[in-house]
Amino acid sequence: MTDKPSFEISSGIAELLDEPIANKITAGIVAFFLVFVTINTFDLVSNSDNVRSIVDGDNYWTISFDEQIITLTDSVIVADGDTEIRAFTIDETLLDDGYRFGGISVTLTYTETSGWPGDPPDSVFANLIQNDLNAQWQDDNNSLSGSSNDGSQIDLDLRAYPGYDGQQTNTTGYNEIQVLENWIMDDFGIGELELEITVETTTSPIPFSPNDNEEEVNITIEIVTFKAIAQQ
Amino acid sequence: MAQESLAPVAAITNLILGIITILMSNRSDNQTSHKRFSALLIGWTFILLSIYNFAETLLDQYYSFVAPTEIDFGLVSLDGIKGRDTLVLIQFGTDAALNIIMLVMALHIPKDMGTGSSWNSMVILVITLYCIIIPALIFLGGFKFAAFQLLLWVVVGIYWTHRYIRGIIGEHKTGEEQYRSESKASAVLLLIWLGWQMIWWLSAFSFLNNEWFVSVLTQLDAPPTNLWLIAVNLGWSIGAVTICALLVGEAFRTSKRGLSPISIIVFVVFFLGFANWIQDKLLLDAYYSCIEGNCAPESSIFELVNYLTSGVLIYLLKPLLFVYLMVQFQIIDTTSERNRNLTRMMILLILLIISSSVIELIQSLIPIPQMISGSILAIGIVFFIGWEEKITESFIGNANIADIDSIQGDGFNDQMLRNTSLLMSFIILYIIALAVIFANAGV
Repeated sequence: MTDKPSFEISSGIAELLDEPIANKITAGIVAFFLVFVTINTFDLVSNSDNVRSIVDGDNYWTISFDEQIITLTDSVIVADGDTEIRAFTIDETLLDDGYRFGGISVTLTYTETSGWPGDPPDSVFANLIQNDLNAQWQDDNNSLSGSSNDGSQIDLDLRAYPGYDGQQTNTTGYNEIQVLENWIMDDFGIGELELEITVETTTSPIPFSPNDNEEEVNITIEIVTFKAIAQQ
Repeated sequence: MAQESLAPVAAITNLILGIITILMSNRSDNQTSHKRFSALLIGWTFILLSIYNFAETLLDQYYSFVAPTEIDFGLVSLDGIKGRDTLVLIQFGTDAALNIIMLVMALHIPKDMGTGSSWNSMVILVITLYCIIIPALIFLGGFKFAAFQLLLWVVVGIYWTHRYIRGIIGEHKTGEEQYRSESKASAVLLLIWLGWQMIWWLSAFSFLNNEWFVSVLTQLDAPPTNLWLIAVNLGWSIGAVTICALLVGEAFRTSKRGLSPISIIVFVVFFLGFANWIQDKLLLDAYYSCIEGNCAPESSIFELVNYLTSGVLIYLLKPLLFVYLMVQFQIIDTTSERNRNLTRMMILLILLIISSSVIELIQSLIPIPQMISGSILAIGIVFFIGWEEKITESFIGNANIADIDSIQGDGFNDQMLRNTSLLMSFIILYIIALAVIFANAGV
């Protein structure tokens, strides 16, 4: 009979390590764990540095915008004293991937249709009707109505995306996701754009010259779409 | 969709389970002394968890909520309110004690690593020294030192994972049940101690946890040290690695031998990783908003998701799995007539508390009237009482010989077992006294 040792750990360790396949798998797991912790720590340290630089206020970003213009055209003949309303549907199908609607510009052109040299141009009045179209209707930079009595073009503007003017801007932020979050909101600019056009023809002062009682107005709609790009 | 905290439920459950387990350990004369010591470890774990949860409940009730993560990472600071500071320090102290008990448990369950009276004395000495020195060091040196205890999680995680793999391979090669018992016990213990870290595995692998941590980093007055950042990383990294090991092991075993309850739990925990990853992804803006100094509030639906995943794992699954471990592996002597009533009490208590908590959870999801939920609970109680004998039998009867024999170890003498309980009582008193002194001293 042998005395039991008062402290013995080697048999426990030997029993623990008696399965070679398990040992190899565990060694693989430990190696993977160490690599993973190292990579993870680098990422966390980088996050920590970024946060500190933000807290200390020196993490600047420049936001620029890549623009694409979508053009829609139409023409309408409006009788003297009449008002016509044309509607244009603006939806996501017009957008390329990652782009948002920034703003809408409407240009109306017309010429005197009678063709007589002495016949003065008619008067055309245009108005963008405020409706459910999701846009910045109260923006000071909008031009929602206009008129012309000399044949010059009428320009109307409507800002669609809040704060968007196409100009490069500077900001501070932790990372790209955070600084771009104000520029990736959906639904702005979506809806029906309704354009109201009124025509008042002008009588020629030359006796016996033919008078027209209608005007053809050409409509060009340019929709500015943009994609924000953040750079440090 | 407001939810009640599960911490008070856990506090009471753990307290009762702790008392019952310690009593049963002392009455289990037929058990090996190693099993009695293991039961004592689990019993005192329950008591420490209960104290931790009581402190958490009181903080939430009277001061402000302190999340378990804040204690693990040492993110809490003292604010001069003595009651609040005492409770926070108690949490730090009990957390340290739980960490060392977890390590000791790993060295004892399922198999004792060492043998001999000196080995056992050394184990008890390590617990004592750790519980005396570490809390004081954390209180004096700064709470961030607490995060370095996560190194113990790594050691324990790798150790039990190795035991688990060894069991799975042994079972595959020999077909012997004893190997399954080893892998089963290791898997259960991993789920108990690291389960709530495992559910963030996908966020850990995709580095989304680091993005969440941005919201924590912004709250720090001074830049953290790289060493502390490494320590912080250890918890969720070991959780991610262990759940993947468990998943592969259980998937392999299921393909060869069919589905088992442990496999189902592992698969569910693994699946929760996807849900929590989606949550993290959707909350990125809220995390980043903290950088601007004004954290956006998290939506109530995400609070509910956390409640249903981390909350359930931390507060409910832990005691349930401990009871399963003790009954299934006969760490407590459930066959003894003296322990019969205590076993019944333990099983019915855990079932009742879990069913009432589940009803509460359902009520969080679907606003059913309390009359209905109360009736469902009453039906459950009637069922449990009526079928008490069968339920208890089915729990105890499931223990197979291989499971029972798999918990092996060297003998402790009765004196040592008594000393263990005395020592744990002393440690708890010491932690509370230390917390009161430091809180009043305003360290």
